[in-house]
Amino acid sequence: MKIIRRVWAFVNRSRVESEIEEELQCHLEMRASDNLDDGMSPAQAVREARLRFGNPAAMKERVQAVDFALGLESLWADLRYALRGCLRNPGITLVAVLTLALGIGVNTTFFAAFDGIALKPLPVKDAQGLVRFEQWFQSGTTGDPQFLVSWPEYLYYRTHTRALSDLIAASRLISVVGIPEGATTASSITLQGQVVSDNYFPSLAGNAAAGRYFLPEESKPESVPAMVLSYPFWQRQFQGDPTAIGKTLKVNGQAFTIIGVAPKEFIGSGAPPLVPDFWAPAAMQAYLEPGHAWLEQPKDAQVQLLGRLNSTRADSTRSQAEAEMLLLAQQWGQSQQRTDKTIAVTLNRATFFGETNALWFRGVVAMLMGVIGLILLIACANLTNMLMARGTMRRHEIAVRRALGATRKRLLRQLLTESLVLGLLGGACGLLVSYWASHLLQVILQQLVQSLAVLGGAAFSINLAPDFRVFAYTLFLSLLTGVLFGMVPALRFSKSDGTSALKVEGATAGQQTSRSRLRNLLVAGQFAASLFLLISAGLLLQGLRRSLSVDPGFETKRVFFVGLNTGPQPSVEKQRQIMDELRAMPEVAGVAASIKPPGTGTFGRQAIIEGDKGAEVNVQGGLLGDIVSPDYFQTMQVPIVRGRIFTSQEAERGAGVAVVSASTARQFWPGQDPLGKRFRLDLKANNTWQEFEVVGVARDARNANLTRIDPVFFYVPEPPDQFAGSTLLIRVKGDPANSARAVVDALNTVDPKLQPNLVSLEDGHMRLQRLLSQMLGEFAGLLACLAVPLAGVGIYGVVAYLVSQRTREIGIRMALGATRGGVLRLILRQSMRPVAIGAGIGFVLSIAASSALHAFLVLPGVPDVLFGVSFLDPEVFLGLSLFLAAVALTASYIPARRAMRVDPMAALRYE
Amino acid sequence: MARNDLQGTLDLLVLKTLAQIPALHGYGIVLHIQRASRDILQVEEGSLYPALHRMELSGWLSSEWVASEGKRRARFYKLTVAGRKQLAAAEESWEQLMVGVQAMRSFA
Repeated sequence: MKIIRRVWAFVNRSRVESEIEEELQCHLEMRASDNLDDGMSPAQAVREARLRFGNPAAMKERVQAVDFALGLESLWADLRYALRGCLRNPGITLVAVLTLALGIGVNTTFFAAFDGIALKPLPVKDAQGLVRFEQWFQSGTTGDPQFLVSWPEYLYYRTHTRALSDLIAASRLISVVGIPEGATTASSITLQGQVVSDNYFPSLAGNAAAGRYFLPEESKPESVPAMVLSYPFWQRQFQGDPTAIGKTLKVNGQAFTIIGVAPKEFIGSGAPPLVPDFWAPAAMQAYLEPGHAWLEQPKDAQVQLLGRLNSTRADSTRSQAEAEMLLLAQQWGQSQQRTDKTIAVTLNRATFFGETNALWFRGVVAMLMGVIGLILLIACANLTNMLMARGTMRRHEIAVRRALGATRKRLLRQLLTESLVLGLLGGACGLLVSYWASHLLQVILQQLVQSLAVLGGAAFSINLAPDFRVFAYTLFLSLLTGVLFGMVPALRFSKSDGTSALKVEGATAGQQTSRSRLRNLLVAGQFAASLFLLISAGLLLQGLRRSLSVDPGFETKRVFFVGLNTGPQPSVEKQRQIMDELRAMPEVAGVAASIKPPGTGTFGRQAIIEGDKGAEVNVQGGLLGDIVSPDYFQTMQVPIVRGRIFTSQEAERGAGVAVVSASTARQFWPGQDPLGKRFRLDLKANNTWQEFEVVGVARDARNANLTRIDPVFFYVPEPPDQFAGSTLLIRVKGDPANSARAVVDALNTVDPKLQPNLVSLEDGHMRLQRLLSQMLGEFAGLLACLAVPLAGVGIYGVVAYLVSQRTREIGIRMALGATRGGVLRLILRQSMRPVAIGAGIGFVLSIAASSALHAFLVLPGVPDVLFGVSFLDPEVFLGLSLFLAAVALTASYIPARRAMRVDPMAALRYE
Repeated sequence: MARNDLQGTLDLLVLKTLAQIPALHGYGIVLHIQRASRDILQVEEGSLYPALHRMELSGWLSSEWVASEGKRRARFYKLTVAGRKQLAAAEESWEQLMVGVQAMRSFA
């Protein structure tokens, strides 16, 4: 009730004001008339009433001040005054707004990216209730296995779930080669597609842009194969021609009819955040991946699940659904005699990226936010210094206002409003900056994805358009920065010592020291932050450089790989024919087949190793190894240091022989001769154990992770029936590009339907591995490029201000005999002192960062980002420190030179 | 201590006045307090009107403009139900204050 009355009073404030006036006037008149009755003269009566009453204007304000507890009216007045102040000082305002725009803009861009990846719901129909299935295993395995299930498993869940309506399955991206209708094999194209359940489109997408979606009849294995194209692909391949509907695309010898195009805004179901070129019904899976039909395989986890919670009551239904799915998952696991039990199921809000709840993701995001926030802090330091400088110039104005009766609280509020206004203006410009930067980011990411030939040119898509979250974040940041950089100057200057400030300029030496302490502190802080960013960037880039020059232990630049499973119905004979033909070519130095070429991850199989004195070691998960043809070692140039490699006869009969890496031998059979030792492998992951005997030892290599030598690695021969899933590795002689072309031609002649895209190991998998450190390094470099100029400008500003303040002192010094050079040295020395302190702090921070990066950036499955970079890498630390010191020196020198040119006489006369 | 106590005392005086005389304007309140306290309490006029405004916003008083005898109109204040409650509370705390101070004074 009270609030309503107050608001009402505020709304009617002009009427209230006049009423108050009237009431006070009435009081005065009544008093005066009483005085008259008491016998005073009219003039006396009025005067006495006035005297007793006090100043009516002040009284009126005091009465109104009761209303001002709401504060709105004065806030409005403050705002208007602040805006006028900004317009009066365009120079300072411009610099401040630009600096803030830069700092806030960078932060907003990052947040927009984070928003697009992790916070925005999937761009599908009714995204609110959509969840993604994730299960947690007893063994603690993380990553892809948590999200993928097999098709029979999906059907089981779909039939039995009651809590989830609309359970949808979508496969990983499948890469195929397709020939458009009427074209020849010469014009075939590579496509990426997904097979999906029949309710995929009806549940997720709006109306088709052209044509239609799958009918239930088309999802049966015997129906005519059909596919739905994605909008970008339709534009790219068919230029948006509506007659593309009804045409066919031949994939692996099977004609797929194009029945429709997805709507423009439909970019798939995310995870990975790539737009597929087409979608096909799950029943067609075998046509797309001949030799690997997984539709009926209960243990082959190939599809991710999306579902809808049944009612609109969010959280209670979610936990119920999770409980039900856990039960189903455990039942399924039991029916499959799975040893690694499911211990939990979470249904996460479906976002574009997928693993946004993972700890590592959150850690990386937090770290990045902190680092980007540093830029904003540096910008704030600049602004604080600027406001301090301006505040000293406004001492007069503030002192006058205090003399007129303004309370400190009122002044504080007004000064804060000014900095808040600056913050908001900076934030608005920051939004513009981030808008432009987001576009740039998208272009860069798109080019990055397309340059990764391994991904086959799929289109990357994040929606970076700002939504309410981005705006809210920017608003919050603007206000926060306004308070941050405005608080200290506001506190200092609202405390102005009245009388001394009212006097003309002159001696302010006393106040100067505490102010300059703050200024020095800020300069030191800026320098430290910039140094920290610079050195961190340097470390990361140095790590990248080192990883580029590491020797993986096998040939990469001259070895090209091509997947054999892109061919139609590959047969053993075909494989052998291809390999023989290639071997016969003059440009080819070696051909081998491999199931898991370097850089494609771990094996995921179990091994039992007969160790010392018959003890058995059971190694589960994360096993490193490869199933190869005998000429693998010669092709990849991996030398054998002991024993022999397996022969082709042994390979053909699937003999139980194996070659292990040197470190494997060292780990399991230390000090003994590894030749003749045995171990067992469950190669097919179906609990059938095959025994192997070690016949040779190979030199250590870095197959899984460029920055670490494989701790354990074994090579076993490839029996013929495994050929279907293998990759051909071809080492060429001579100029790699020419030789590669010759190989492609040869492959085309042998099998026109193969259409290989030959990529070297170097450009393919190795490059992918280095991607993370490349991105981190470049990102850190960008931040450093932002931070250094900001700090430089800050130092420049501070020194310039110092010089202008001490003109008189400089004049006196020169009059007393100081040389211009001496004055310059004095200024420089004093301004570099905080820089030196900042350098010390920055150094310590960088050392901390170095140890943190070394410890935490060891992400699983990813090359160490700081590979080969020593703790206190001298090049980075020393070199960059000197560089930044030089920048600071230059920034101080330029305004200091002005000090030299001071004319003593003019300075002395200056009052 | 000072400001709040004085403010509280003024509140008490105003509320009591309006309990004794149903409707009164500001000047009348001043006169009444002066008379009723036998000239001992002279209300600081500078603090009266802000206090009246505040009490009205708090809902303890209600006011209306009344034209009086052909002269200019004046604003008359009345106690509200909430105001009566507040008066009772203020009187009680005043009693307690008295007891406390007296006890303090007679402490040997």
